[in-house]
Amino acid sequence: MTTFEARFILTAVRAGQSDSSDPVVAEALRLAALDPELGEWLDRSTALDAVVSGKLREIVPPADLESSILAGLKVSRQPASRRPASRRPPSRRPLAYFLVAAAALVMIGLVIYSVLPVSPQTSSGSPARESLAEFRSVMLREIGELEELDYSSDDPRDVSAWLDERGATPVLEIPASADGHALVGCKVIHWKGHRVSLVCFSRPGAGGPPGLHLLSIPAEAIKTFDETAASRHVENDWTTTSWREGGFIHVLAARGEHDFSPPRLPLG
Amino acid sequence: MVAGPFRSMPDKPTPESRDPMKMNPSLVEELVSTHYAGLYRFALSLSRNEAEAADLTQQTYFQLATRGGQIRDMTKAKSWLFTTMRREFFAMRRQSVRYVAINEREQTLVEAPDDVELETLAKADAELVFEALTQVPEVFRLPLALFYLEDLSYREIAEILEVPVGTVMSRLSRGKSEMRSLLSAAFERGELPLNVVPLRRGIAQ
Repeated sequence: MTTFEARFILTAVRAGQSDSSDPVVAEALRLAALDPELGEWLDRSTALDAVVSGKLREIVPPADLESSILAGLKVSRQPASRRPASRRPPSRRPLAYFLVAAAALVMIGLVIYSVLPVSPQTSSGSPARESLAEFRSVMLREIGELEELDYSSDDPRDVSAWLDERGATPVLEIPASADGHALVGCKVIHWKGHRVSLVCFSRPGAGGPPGLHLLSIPAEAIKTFDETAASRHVENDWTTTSWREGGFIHVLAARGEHDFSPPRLPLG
Repeated sequence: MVAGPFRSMPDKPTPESRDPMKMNPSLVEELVSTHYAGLYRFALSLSRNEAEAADLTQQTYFQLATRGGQIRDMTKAKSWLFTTMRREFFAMRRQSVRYVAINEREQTLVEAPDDVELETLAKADAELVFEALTQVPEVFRLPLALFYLEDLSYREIAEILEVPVGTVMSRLSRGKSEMRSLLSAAFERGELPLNVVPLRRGIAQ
């Protein structure tokens, strides 16, 4: 361990805290004990941290914040039936109920229409293709509306471990890059009772949201996956490729035209 | 149930499975008393606005009341609260802005000298120190706030921010350097160069 590495590690710890039991921290502390310059730096840095920490804790919340939080929680627990009943004349209620019911039916119709797969393949009558198409369409919409990754990292081992901890074990070995895109993180999506792992990649230096997405779901979730229905598929502004591997179905998706052939992760 | 590495979840919560999501009200109240002040300070460091910080704290506890039943290990309740608050805060923003903001700052910020004098710092006003914290770029401010305000270890900070421990160390290093540089500049000029955030101060005993 170099002095620079020791400083880097010791910046993140406080003397006498549980961090000291970490072997890496212990090694850095040992080095600080042997190196007078490093030791002096650590003493000064720790003292500065203690002063800053003490100053920042002088900031206290508004006096009524705790009471407000508790009152808000109490109100939220009130059942809806305790709300005051409508004082409208009984004769006008049937019309109001009819209008509300009609509006609800229209809304439900719109939602169902918007959820239906848009791919023409879904109208071919094949259940396998419908199932894959539905999964693909829903996932593309999820990705399109993606606001935040659950976990950000460019380290495949970290991403893999994070997904594993959340029951979304990726069976594929996650690469550091694919199709010219670098790994940026992942997310877990719940679909039809299954956990779908979404691993995202971005072009280095491009900024903006990730451009390449790898979805993995247990094969049994797509009940009768038809290999002929898989492979390259273009839907709206997306190009996808799907394949089965290791008991999972994988879908690789990117905006625009891409040559995903053969259906497999284009490493590098 | 599905075999294999993916564990299945029910499609929709049934009436039986909805209640366990909620946390026992007395436990929620206990966690309010224990952590509301720390959460508020963290919210203030995120939002730099008192009203928004109070709202964010309230919203975090609402999430605890409605979803806190899923916390199995109560020693993780504090981490859960801070993680939830961070997510609630970012949920208010457009992701496109966040991607650009974080990436650009992380790439362009250069390490500044940390030459603030301990004696000067000890005499400084708490508001001035807090003001310096709020001026540190957000990507470094989050781990810094958790480090200074909550005495969390770097591993706990990594868990809350959902980033690797190496990233936390790097951000703490740069964040401290940035904050000390800001304080040093403020002390030299006898003022802070940026707008003052209105804060309520308590009395440090």
